[in-house]
Amino acid sequence: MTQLQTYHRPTTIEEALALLNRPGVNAVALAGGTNLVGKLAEGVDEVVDLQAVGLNRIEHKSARMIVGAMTRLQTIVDDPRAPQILRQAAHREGPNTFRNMGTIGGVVALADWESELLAALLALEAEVTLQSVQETQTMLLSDFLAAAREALKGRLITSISVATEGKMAAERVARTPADKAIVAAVARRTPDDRLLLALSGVDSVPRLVSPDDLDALTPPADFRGSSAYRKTMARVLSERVLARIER
Amino acid sequence: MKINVNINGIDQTLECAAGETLLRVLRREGYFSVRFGSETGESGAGAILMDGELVNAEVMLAAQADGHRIETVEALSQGRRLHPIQEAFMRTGAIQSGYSTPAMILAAKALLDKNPNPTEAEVRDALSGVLDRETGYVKPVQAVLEAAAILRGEDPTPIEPNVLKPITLPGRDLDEYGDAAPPSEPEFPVGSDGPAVDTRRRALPKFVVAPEAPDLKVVGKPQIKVDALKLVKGNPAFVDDFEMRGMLHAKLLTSPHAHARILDIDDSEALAMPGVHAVLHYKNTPRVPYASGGQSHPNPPPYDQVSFDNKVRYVGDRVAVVAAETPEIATEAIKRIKVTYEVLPAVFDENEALKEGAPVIHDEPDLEGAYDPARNIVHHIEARVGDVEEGFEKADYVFEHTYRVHQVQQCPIEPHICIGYWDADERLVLRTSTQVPFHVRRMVAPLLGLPLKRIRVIKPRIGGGFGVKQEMLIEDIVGHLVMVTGRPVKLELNRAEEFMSSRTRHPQTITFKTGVTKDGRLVAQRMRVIGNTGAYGTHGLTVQIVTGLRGLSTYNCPNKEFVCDVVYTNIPVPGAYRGYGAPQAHFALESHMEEIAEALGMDVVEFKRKNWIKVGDPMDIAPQLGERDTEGAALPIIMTSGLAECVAQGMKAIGWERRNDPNWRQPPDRPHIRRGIGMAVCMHGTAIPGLDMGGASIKINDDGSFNLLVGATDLGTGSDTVLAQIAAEVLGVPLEDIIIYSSDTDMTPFDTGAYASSTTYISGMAVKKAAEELREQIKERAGLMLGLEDWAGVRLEDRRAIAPDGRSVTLEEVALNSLHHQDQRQLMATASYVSPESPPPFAGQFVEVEVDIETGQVTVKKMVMAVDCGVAINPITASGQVEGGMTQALGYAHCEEMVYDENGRMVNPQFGPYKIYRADEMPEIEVYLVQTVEPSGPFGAKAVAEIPKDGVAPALANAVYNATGVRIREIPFTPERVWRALHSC
Repeated sequence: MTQLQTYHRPTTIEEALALLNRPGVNAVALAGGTNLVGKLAEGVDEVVDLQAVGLNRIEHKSARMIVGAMTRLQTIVDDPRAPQILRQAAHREGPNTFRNMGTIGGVVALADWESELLAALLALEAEVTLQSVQETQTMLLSDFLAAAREALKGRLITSISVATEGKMAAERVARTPADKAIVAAVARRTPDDRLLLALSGVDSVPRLVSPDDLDALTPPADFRGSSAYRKTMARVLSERVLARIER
Repeated sequence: MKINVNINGIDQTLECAAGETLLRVLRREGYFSVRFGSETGESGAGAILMDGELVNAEVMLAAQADGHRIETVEALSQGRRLHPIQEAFMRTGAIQSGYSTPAMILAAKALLDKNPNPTEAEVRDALSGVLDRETGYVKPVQAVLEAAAILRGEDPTPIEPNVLKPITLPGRDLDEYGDAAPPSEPEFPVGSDGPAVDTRRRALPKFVVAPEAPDLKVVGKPQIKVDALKLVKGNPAFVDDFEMRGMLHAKLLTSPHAHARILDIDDSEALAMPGVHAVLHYKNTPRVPYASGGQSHPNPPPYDQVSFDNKVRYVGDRVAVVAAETPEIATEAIKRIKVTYEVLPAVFDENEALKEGAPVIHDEPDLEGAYDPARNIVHHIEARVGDVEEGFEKADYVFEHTYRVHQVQQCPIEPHICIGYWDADERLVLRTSTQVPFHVRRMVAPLLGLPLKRIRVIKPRIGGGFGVKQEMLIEDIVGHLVMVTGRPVKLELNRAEEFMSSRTRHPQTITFKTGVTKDGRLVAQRMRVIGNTGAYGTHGLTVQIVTGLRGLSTYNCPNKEFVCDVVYTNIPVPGAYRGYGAPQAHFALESHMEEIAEALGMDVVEFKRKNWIKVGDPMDIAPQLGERDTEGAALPIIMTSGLAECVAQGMKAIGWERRNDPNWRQPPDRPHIRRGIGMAVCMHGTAIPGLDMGGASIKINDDGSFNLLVGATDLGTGSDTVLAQIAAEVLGVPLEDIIIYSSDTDMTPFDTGAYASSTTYISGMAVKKAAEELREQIKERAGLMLGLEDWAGVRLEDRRAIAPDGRSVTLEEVALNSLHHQDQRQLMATASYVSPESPPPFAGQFVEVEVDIETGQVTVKKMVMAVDCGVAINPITASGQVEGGMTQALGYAHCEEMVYDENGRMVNPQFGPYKIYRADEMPEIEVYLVQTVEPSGPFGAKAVAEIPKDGVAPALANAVYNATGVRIREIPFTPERVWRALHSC
């Protein structure tokens, strides 16, 4: 399947970062592997499996939840204290075989434009904590996604923190009930009455959109949805979720 | 590297490469229950338990499992004692091919270990990671609920058909419904308490029994599949579960261009690689034109393929093949083959391909049997009854509509795979996943230049076929490689190759023009079809013939005409796919009929009933649209039809009257939702008359058991079980006394193979005849042993031969006597069967939908199918065929499609993007078996395998029309297509 030469399983983040940052070695981080192993790219010489670095805890702190990057998606689905919308979105990332291995850090790192989980995280004002050899840094998920792969250079995602309170709603359109959404909308009214609207499937990455800016969207197209269709769905689904979180 | 893993309770240290998947390492270590289904993991055939959780060994590095605990099905049973989950899978009929059964059993175990009392939704969630192309998930879900109940200490649910009263009047020709009251007794046994129990019972087939149906001991009973044990234990049974020392791995180089000439191939760099044993391509392989469709001799034209050509005609077409020591070396070698292409213009749409100036796809001088290749027309087919033009003149109204059906793939979870080797006698053995072992042997011989007698084809268990394996697809490549290298060779397609380089369903453009009278009688009907057969002809002729036959047989009409062009294009090759031209025809016909009824202001069911074919009616166009020319022969007549009862049962089950209730159709609390119900009438064939042939031979063993050898090819359907049931019934023994073996060209009699809904009917009759002949021999021997003057009155029952005076001998005594004691001879018989007829099964298909009118999203809520398949030899396997077939048909109608970029490259050759329904998103499914007793079939049987593919697409289209008032004449019903139709953009 692949010309992969070496497998590492570091037990600390520092060790993992050191392995990933060796000059001249094309090493990639391996979270659950559900996506990576099936598509291991040419030229990947080494993988650094993060299963033993201990990033799989969930902490609930006042109005936020801090999820270790290696937390399995199924663990989020099963967490009764997690926001319903987050549990549901984690469930929709794939069937149980994928959720039992796939991690939240992996989903964030992949930045799939049609990920409903990323849309939910955006509406929950997710912050991504990244660690490099030099420093630990926290940034908004929206900034992380906008920075694309640049944000991951020399860094590892260690945790994702999300707000847990507010009034929330999600809507989607898909070919079948468990299919990946073509467009999904997640809205949240925060306890201090701010409005957040996040959409997947309407831009190169899932993003927050102001309801007033929906007309400015220029979605990419694929065979499941043309740009015009996705743009219309962005409006239809946004209106539905916004109506559901009316005060 | 080394990894330490605990597998099934035993600590092991395994050697593996860093990049190897856990699937590969487990299989190398002999855990054959963990199987390949897709390189990206969506099939779930490679699921295992790691630390008690269901995960996918297909998309896990073996190294990731280091330090973990792994469980596979191999350890679930203790000796001969099965785990209750395994027993439940056997008892409920949850196994068809069994390829992914071990994965499902592990999914169930992971669930039940944590949750002894799961809901149906939880069971469906637990099974969501294992795609099933066979069962529609009905019986696997039932099996898990059943296992949960057993593990809780509850009693097993009785596996008995649920017998209903007929709604229509028996003995009449069913032109109208009787006034028989609906059944008053509850449909489910009393005592149901709660959803779990209800679900357990729902999966059992519902039955309307024909009063004249014979009461038998083994036939008609829900017997456990004869191959269930090995499948439920994950025993090595499939092509790939077989190892040979020194086996080479083959890998295909396929075309990146939709249409190109190969100017040169330079294989020197690939051949120079250590570990590469052969590179084959057009320059070093004999050029022998052939047709790849697995059909009877002589194969229908055109002969338009060669093993390796100097022209490629679609993205995915064969260019070259490498055989090497490892798959990795083969993959690397493929990249080092230098091919110089002259890229040619390509055409993908069947209507475009017919236009003046379209690229000419087949211009090779040795092409044989194509109608007009310069215009890309492979076949031109015409058939007519009466005079349609005259009929249109006489009609009060004439309607004309055009429909388009798209391309989908069969998606067996086990892709094509073949292992070839020289045996000790230096004969070529091909162990291959095929539906047509005998055709493969005959067809591959000339390509290899080997006499047929030097080839043996073995079909072990196979993991689904659905028509895609009714083809000589990769066996020639494996044969060439074995001959060149002298080594065993394996070629297995991966999932992307299975999509792009195997076979698919024919897209068609279909125009129906129909003349009717004011009172709704058909007077003339013309069907014009442009069929797209892609780069090669293969099944192009016969699929399109079936389209015409099915499009013009369901309804009586004095004037009919079928005109069809089958055209070449540059898409991956359509071939045989369960239904074989009929699903296309039914989508167009059943949509068109409803459009006419709507225009006439008639009730759709009334309109169809008025015109549909009834008992005693001739199938007047059939002789012209048979695969063997039977023109001039007597017209086939409908002998049995339960259609009226099927439609009545289906209407009741779906709640048909709701479709006229505006409050139901437009729920007040959900303003953007519209609901609808649609139906379709289905009629299919049972085998190809005068052509399909099956052979069986049967012999008695010392203990009174029997070996039954059949050429018929069980691809997971349960045909081995059904055929063994027929033999057991005739010979008066329980099913367990029949040891059936299929199919092996050295060992078993000839059979055309598993296609055309023929196995139960044709091979079943061969088995019945062979068993009857053997029964006479047994009776004669028993007469001799008992000193009877006349043995004609001896009957076989309960493993004994019983004389009219009550004295008896056991079959064991008969066997010992004949083999060892007296006038020794092997009691055995061989018989074969060909049918002059093809009695149609009938069905009513019903679908309930919700349409989101703002998004175009269609959600299918419920599917009901009531089928008249004659006497179901095994109601569990028969209903399993219907459930699974309907689910495939749902994919065809709703979400599956092969999509291409502008260069003809498929953009979604992966499960997920190519969407197959999962367990956790299925609509409710109900199956009714409406019995008739077909006089020409074994014990009254007709076919059941293909008819479930016919009705879902039109019933869905009609349901969407009922919901929204918008008619969509193209499938699948994906959100944007529906949205554009609703918003006219």
